[in-house]
Amino acid sequence: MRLERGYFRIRDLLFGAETSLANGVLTVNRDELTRVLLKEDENTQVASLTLEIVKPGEDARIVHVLDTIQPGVKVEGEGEFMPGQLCDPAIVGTGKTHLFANLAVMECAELPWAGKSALLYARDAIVDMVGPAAAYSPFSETFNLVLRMTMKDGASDVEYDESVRHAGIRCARYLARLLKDRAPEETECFDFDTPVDPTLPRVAYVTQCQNQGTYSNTFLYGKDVGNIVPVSLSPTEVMDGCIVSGNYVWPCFKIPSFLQANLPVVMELSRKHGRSLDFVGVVFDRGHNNSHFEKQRIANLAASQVRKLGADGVVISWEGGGNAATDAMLTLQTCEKWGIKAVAFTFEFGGPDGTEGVLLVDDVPEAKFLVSGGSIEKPTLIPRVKRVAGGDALRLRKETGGEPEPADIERRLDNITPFYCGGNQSGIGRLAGVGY
Amino acid sequence: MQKEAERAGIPTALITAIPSVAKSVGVSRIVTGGGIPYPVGNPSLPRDREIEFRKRLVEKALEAISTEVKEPTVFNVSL
Repeated sequence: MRLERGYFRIRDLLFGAETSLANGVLTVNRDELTRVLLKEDENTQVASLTLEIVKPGEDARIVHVLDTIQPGVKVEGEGEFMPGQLCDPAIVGTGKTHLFANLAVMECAELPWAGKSALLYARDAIVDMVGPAAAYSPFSETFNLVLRMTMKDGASDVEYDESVRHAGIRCARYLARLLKDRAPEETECFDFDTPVDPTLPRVAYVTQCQNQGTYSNTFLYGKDVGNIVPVSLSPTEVMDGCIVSGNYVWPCFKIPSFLQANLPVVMELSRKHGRSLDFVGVVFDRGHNNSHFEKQRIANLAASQVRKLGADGVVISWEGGGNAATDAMLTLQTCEKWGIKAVAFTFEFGGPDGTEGVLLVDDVPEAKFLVSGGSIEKPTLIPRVKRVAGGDALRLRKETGGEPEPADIERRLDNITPFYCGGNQSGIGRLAGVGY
Repeated sequence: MQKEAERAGIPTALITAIPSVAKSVGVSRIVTGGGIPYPVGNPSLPRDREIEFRKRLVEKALEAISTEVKEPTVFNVSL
């Protein structure tokens, strides 16, 4: 497959009379867009929707962050950007795609979290635009169009989940159509059709998503991947948004749709393809399989896809916490057993200074090389901010069922789990390492 | 908990859905359970078979604590 990506970087984001893009300034007609998101979605369970703009460097905090989407549009080639989401599940990854490089559509809402324990206890996801926590999230550097939503009463979790996602996707499509007939400032071409030097090392990437039911889902070509068998995808398909996130648990580990379409390992290996290596493909599967048997089965099938791609080496990463580490480690183990060199990304525990107790949830003797995504047990002081977007309150204490607390005040958080993408294992972040 | 009990001379067995984690932290006797949401059962089985499965898990755990082990050892039961 061959894909050309055209990028558009904006200088400013404003509300105004007409939705337009001129000289790098994106103006959004708030009323029109609100109508598109609410009135034109006949199935929506969104009761109210307010559009808010949050800019890089602003003294602001965004709360209740669910998914974050990059607006993109197919200009040439089959299908639509984010195929299968309110459109046909046509196979993407060829032709041309235009994207806003630094604009993010952010879905923000309080979900009706059901429990006080386990997976679905009330929790919050924070993006700080300033202060020490800003570096935890790549979205402190983007212009963010926030969809601040409240939900109607009496709908099911599946309906809330769908409504939130559809609002984000409709919004992204509404903005991305502005890019359809324009010449991008910057383009990148990813050519997987032309044969490469056969002596180059052959490298595959396994990306394992989170999937544990509604609010903890990932979608491939428009359908949740609960029963997925590991599948190999072209890197360009992934760049065209065939993986969409519906995962709102563990904000620090979450890989939002924006990142799913720009997975750092996919981008880096694609840029090196034909030069220093041969990127043979992406294997996509899910973690959090329930039993040891199911974990080993999926790990074996994922490794089998890697072997079929003819890889000499493989990079593995996973979304989610402990449970999913086992699925990934078993995948690594099977690859190594078959002579395929494997390396994985992982978060760490280790207490405030990184040395306490057990550092990893799981590991196998074959895991000789691991890349740290950082410790999730660092305490962080977040400052008082002038403005809060996305909602009014923070819900951080699961013991009280997520009792709302002021969101704008200075506060010390014991660990980084509420910071959106803060313990992410996909390879983003500004962490530096020290060898000792 | 298990390590402390063993240090006091009481043999232990852990029924767990993820034996690999138990192995890597050095648990002595590991019995592979049903699944993460249901380590000592399996609700996808018909009722009678599930009761039988639970019984086998407990019996296997008892067998495990009667067995001398030198390193982390996994005991399995059939579904």
